[in-house]
Amino acid sequence: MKFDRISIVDYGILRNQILEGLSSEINIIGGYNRAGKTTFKNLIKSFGYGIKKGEDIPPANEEYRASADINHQGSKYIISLTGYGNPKLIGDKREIESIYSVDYYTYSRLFSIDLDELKKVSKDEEKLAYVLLGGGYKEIAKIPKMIQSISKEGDKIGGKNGNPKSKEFKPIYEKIKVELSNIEEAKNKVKEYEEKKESLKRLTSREKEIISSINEEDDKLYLLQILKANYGVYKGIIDIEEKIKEYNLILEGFNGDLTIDGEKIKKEYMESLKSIEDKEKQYKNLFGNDIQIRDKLLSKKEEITNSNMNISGIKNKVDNLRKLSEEIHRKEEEVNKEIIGLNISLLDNKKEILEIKGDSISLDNIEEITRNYELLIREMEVNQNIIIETETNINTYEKLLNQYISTKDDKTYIKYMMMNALTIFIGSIVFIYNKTFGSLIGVSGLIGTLLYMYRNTNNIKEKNDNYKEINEKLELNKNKREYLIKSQNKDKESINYYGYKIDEIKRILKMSKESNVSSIKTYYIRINEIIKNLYGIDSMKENEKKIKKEISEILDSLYKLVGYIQGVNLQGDINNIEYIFREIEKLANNIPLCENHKYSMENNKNLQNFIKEEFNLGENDDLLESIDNYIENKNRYESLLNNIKNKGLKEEVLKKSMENNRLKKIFGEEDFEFYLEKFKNLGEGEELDKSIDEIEGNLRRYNGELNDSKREIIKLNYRIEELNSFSKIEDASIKLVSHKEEFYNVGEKYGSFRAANFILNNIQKNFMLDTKENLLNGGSRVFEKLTSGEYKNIEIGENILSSDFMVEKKDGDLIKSSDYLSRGTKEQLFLSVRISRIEEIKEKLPIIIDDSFVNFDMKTLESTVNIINSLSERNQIFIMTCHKSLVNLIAKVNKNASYFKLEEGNFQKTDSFELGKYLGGRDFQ
Amino acid sequence: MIKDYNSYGGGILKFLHLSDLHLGSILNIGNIKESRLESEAKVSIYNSFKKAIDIAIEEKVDFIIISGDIYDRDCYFVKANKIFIEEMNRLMSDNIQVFLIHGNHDPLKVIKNISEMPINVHVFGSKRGEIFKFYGKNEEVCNIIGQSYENREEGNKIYKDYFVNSSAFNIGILHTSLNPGDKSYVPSSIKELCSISSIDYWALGHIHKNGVLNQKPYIVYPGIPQGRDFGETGIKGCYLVNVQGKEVTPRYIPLGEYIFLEIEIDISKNNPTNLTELILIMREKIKKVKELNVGIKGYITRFNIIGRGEINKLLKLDKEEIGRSIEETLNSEFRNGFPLVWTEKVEIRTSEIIKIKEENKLIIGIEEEIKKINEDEYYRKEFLTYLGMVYRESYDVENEDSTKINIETKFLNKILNSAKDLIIEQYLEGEEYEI
Repeated sequence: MKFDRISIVDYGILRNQILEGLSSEINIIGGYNRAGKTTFKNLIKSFGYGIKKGEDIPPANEEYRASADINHQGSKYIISLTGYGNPKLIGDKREIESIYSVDYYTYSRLFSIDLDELKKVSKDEEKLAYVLLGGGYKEIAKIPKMIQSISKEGDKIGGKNGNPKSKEFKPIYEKIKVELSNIEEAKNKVKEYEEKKESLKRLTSREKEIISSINEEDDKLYLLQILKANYGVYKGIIDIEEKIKEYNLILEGFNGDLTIDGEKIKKEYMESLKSIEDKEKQYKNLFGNDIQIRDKLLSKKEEITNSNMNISGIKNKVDNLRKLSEEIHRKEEEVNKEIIGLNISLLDNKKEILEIKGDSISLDNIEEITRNYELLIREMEVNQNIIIETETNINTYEKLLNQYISTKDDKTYIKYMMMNALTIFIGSIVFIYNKTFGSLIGVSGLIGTLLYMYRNTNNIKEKNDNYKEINEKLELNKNKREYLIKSQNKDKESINYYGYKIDEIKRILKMSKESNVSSIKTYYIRINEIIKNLYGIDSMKENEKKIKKEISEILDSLYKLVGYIQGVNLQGDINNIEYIFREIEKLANNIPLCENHKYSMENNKNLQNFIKEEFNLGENDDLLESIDNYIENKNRYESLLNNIKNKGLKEEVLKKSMENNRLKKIFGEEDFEFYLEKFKNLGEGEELDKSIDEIEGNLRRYNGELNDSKREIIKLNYRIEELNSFSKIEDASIKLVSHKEEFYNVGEKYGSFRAANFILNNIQKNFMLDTKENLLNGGSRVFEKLTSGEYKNIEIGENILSSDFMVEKKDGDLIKSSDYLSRGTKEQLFLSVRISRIEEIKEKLPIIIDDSFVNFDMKTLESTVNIINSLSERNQIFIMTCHKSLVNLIAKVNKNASYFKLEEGNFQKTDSFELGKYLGGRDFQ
Repeated sequence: MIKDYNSYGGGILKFLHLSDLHLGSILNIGNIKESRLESEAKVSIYNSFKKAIDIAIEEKVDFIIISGDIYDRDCYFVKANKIFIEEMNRLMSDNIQVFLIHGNHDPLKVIKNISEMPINVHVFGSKRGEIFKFYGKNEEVCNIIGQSYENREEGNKIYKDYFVNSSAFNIGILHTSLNPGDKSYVPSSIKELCSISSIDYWALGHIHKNGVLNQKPYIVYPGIPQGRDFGETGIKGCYLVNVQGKEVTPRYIPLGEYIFLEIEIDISKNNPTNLTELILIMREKIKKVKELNVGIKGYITRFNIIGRGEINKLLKLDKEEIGRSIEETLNSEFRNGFPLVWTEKVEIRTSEIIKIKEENKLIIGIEEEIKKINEDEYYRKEFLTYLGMVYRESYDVENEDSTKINIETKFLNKILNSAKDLIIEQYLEGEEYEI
């Protein structure tokens, strides 16, 4: 875009000005300070972006107003500027932005170059960046801050590295881990399931093998057990077969008669022989070899037996006789003692005793007579005693009466009185020495006298009364004595009478006369008793005699019997009866022996005859041997028959045993011979047991293994079922999905921040690279020219946004910061960068240079002008200056340049010479 | 390997082509606190598979082909396997054979010896391509050739060996990303598959989006039967394929119970001025979705509010909170309806209306940077490195690390756009809205 014509109505200092003939290349506005150069510079900017409030623009008189005729891409437009409004393209629908495509900021900083700007930007990084990086920088200018801000937000979510174990990821990560672990656990369970299944398969297969082995072993065992169980039977058959062969040889000649019971006959015969032997032995012990004794004894068997049976009766009789004799003797001794005790004179003459007529006197009569006699005697004795007592009393009373009459008791009286008088006297004497003591003695003597005298008076009265009473008693006793004497005389007569009677009784009873009366009664009783006993003894003696006779007769017969048998003559002796009794008893006891002896002999004889007959033996044949032979043959024959029978039975048993379904199942339908063959091949005893043990061992082992296997299978199935119903994984999966969604949400958020940063970083990086490649390459070229090859390259600093550059000198030295450059070189550096930047911007907008080169030396200025001149080929350039040299230099290089003198807001078109002249003395250093 | 089957009755051969069952996985409903969905999330994958089996039985198919990734991960295997076998047994009752290969998610090395399949299930080995022959009335009707993955990756062009010397209908089963440059999941291309002349139907698996990519021969991806997140949006299902002679008629059968749906609302187009207007627009979108009536249980929707508009002045006050508030408003209205439309998230990514000058270096720089990040692989790596430790370029989404954030294209664009908005926002701080 290029200005063709500018018309200013009201713009600060500039009013009613028209600039015509503007060069499309370079326009020099020359003027001094405050002429309005800066206002014009602002105006040029305002055509693109309007007047910005607050900008350092002089106030309008009425209203800012200006217009410009422009040429944009070959078309003519008019820009109208009024007040603060946006500039308008007159006659065109397009907005001004379609021409001013760079933003105001860039335009004002890049396309408008003044010294202040250069000075400022050199210290102002951000603005430097604006200028240097120009268009587009704005878009990326915020990138560092944005990166910072986004990083900060992003870091809050996932930290700097997006570590799943940090920040917001962490809790979700942990939850995921938990669920993964649950799933892992489930996986392990599946692994376990697989293993268990595998184990189950293996075990099931093994179980089948074991069962098959068990069946096999079981069959073997079954067969062996059947064979073993029946081996005895089999063996029996074999043995029987052997025996049958053997017997057949031995029994040749045996008639086969099995009817005789040889054993029984033998037993009987043997018993008979034994019996004979026993009996002979016993007999000989008793009787020696005399066989006649046996026969005699057996002929008197009844008699002996009876006698023996009566022995106890005889013994009783003898015993009774002995006892009777002893009784008689005892009784006699007792009677003798009685007699001696009663009347010894009668002892030797017992006849006299028997002659006493005791029954002529009764016991009652004797009792009466003796009682009366004794009563009379006792009465007389009592009376006599009373008489004596009475006479004693008479004598006593007579003496008492005499004493009362002749004497009184004076001696005691005087004696007592004397004692009292002495006491009084002694008291009187003592009184002389001791009045108190003497008085006491004297008074006591006096009191004694008085008391005695009082008592004596009372005794005299009592004595008189007693004398009278004694006298009366004396008389009474004398009368009594007289009566008693009379009574005594009468009793003497009665005593005499009974005395006579008693004497008579004594005589009858042959008592001594001196015998006491009182013993008569006892005597009478005892003598009568003796008499009775004497008669009893006589009777017993008679009986004794009779018994003796009986015994004697029996004994005689017994002796006779024993003598007969023993063949001797024996005499009976009653005192040696035990002998005969023993003999009889012995004989009786031997009767059975003799009988048996006799029977055995006879029986044996009969038996021998029977045997001979039964076995058809001759006289000289040995009976026992013959019986034994028969028995043996018979037994053998019977055995043979039994064996034949047994063999059949056993074979039947064996067949039955082998005919079982199990064996059929094992071996199929086999005949009996097949099994006999098995038996034949079968080991015996230990060998067979060992085989069975071995099989049983195998079976035990297999069964054990089978049980273990079954248990294990149950366990496995249970566990598999458990694992089958395991559902934790589904819950874990659901949770995991949920957590993952959460995780992804955070991840998306964090990823957005990180992606934004990535993108921003790269945009920034690309921008920097782009800047380096495009902008700085161009800048380097300009800079090289400006510095006349002193510097050949501009390089971007480590951080372009820190807006510093490194420059490379022509010798290759690298100056790492613009701070190390001189002021002029630094301004050249930034000018180079700007120009390069402007060249890069597609839109060829007008450039305003406001006396920016004051610090350049002439050489540099020339170089600068050359560069500007080149630039003016694409961009219209307005140069504001107060320096003549610049005008001259431009005039030199650009023939198309237009020159305007600006003086106090008024423009005047001129030429370089005039303008140079106007500016005169002002020039570069 | 040759097997003889006599179930085929002649006439039309009918089979169901399924793939990428991912049994054991769940719907990734994230933070949705809706009990109906929470429980459904665990069973929908299974249900969609069961539905496929129902259809197979109902349609009396001759067999089912599963082109890999039956199980999602080994850690889910136990329950998934149990259900899979149950369903296989169901098929066995109807004498329906199943031919399957294992993919990168359930390679044979991991799966073998564990799963004892019913006899109607025929698993292709991983050593070489194996052939199952399918006979009907003693006539060879169909050959099925396939090869399972041995490991989680298969870098060989295993299909090169898929040769069937038979004029019967031949099916090749392959688990591939159909990307010649992908060294992990059988590098291949449509052209290469077409060059295997004996194959009439390529039953592919691995890509979760369905599509019939070619017709002679048929190259078919049934996709996943049930979408599990917003990476698997839209209707999902399998193909019911009728074959008469060499004529193939595939019919797409929707199986998914829930559809993940992303709805974008550009405020610069609709220009809502307040929240009510914005919600109204969203409500209308939901109503339209409901009207589709594709026989499913529900939609899980995510609204992306984008563009520049006046309303941004309001939205930018708190985008997250306003988003949540809109979610609640919409969910309270549509949560009880049928089908359920659950707004999972309202993501507000709106910006201010700004004037941008063409030559603005910042904007130019941003655009250039974004472009470079998107287009220059090395630059993107540099960018991802710069982003932080938590990020990881998702060169393989199959092997993601949950403690890292996978930068797939969508996410990358999101953060780049956000970054752009952020920069502009920062730049404009205290300025006119003009750059």
